[in-house]
Amino acid sequence: MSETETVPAQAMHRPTEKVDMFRYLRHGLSISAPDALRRAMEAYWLLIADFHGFVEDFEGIDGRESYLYGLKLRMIERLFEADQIASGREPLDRLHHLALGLELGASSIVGLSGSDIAELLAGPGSLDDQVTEMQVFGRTLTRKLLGGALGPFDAQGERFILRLLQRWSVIGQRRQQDIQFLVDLLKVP
Amino acid sequence: MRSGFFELSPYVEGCSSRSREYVSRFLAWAGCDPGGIRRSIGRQFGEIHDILYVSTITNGLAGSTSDIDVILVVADKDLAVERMSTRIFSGSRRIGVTAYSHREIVEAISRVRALEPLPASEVQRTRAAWDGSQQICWTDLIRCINGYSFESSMPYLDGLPALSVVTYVTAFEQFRRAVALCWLSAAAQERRGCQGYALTALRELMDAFMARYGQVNSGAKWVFERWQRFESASGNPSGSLRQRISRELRATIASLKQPSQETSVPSDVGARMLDLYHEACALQGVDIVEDRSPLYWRDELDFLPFVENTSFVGHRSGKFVLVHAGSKEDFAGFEMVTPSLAAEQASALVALFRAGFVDVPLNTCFTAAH
Repeated sequence: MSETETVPAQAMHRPTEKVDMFRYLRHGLSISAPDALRRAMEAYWLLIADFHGFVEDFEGIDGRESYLYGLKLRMIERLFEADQIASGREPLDRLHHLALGLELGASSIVGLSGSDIAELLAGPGSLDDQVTEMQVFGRTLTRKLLGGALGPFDAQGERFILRLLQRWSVIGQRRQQDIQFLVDLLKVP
Repeated sequence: MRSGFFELSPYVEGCSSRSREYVSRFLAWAGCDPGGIRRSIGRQFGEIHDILYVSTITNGLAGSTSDIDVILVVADKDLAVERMSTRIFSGSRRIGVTAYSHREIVEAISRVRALEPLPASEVQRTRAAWDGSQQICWTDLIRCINGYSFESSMPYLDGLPALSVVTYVTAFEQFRRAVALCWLSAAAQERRGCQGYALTALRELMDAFMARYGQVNSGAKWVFERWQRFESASGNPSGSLRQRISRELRATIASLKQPSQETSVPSDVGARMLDLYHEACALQGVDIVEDRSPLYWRDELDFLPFVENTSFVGHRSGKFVLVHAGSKEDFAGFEMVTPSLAAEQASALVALFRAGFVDVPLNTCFTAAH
């Protein structure tokens, strides 16, 4: 290809770029809001608890198409839920999560392949050695708000979770905020 | 439970051998030895009463990256330990371990049995509040009842009939609410929201349908795969409703794959789902007349006549009821709203639903299920 040739715009876009989610998470949270620390921790906890599992599930699809669609819809619901938590809005009944997730920009996920979604969550190529979109997002969030905790994909078993909780506990004490809700998070099945 | 409505026997009879086959096949594929798993768990937790394989490994839904999930049944005295789920390893395979006592599981099952004869509205309320009020969360209770013991039995399978009834009632009620919201969302000209409600409704109806035949599972992400298997298995019921559910699912997924900007609002999805609701009511034994109920309206709002020819009036229950002009003796929920609702009115109403100000609660029993 010569220097004057251009690549058609549609060829330059990966399918995952059509997905427009994380409206609140991407715009960041204002730590001046009284409950921002709690919201950030809860949203991030949801990502830790679920999204590493989702990536593994997508990797283990093994050609099961109906499972793939079930996973996609469940992921959209959880993305919407995390975004709602980050926004600080009143939690909605789960009956609305899928509908609003789709209405607000996640419908493209339905058309993506399993590997596309793994790419969306964890970046192209191997999950182990790529700096991923979620890692960047997670690290940005944690660097800004949570004292530089590791990203969810760096988890080393439960030690990571315990270290994270310990760090959050310290942050909560410094900010003189009750962190009892962390115990409740641990109890969520 | 009304005799003949739930047909559990074919599923229950083959349950243990099926689970054994699924577990054996997965462990062999993963290169895991049951004795090794037991030793790993024993080293970590000491004396154990029983171990149940649960979740995907027992129902053939496990994939190549699945963990092995187990529930550790311990003596009551050992429950002082933290109940948080733990992961251990057997070779490179992760094992998710959660502990409950035998007595806790038995008591939880008896509480589910106590729900069986109650009106559907009470079943729904109790089920919705279950996780905040019970030691065993609903997901783990389903796992226990479907759990396959290391001793080659399913010790809690006798809880399945009651579990099937409660699952049927709650899933059908969620289906009903999702259909109402689908109609409103379509009327509000939401491009994708109505399809989301349609998928939610289909997912719930599949769950209700399968529960009628004893197939209960908590994972929403597996429901389409379970349905596909349910459809193709010999001996399972065939029929127009089952085929229609599958057809609606395929059509909705295909529609969602279209680029959003190139898709017009699927104006017929609300009407289609409402029609599906009526068919499901007829074929699943729900009496539409008895099923009809007033809109729930939050009490602090006195009056809001935002829909032309429609007003909210007080009801003897203390709630408010949406009344459509000309049908005062025949008030009901969303069904009565549908004929003359403009897009902006539907938008307002669906927003109120989402904010929790309005709902379409179930008032009466499912006649066929009780």
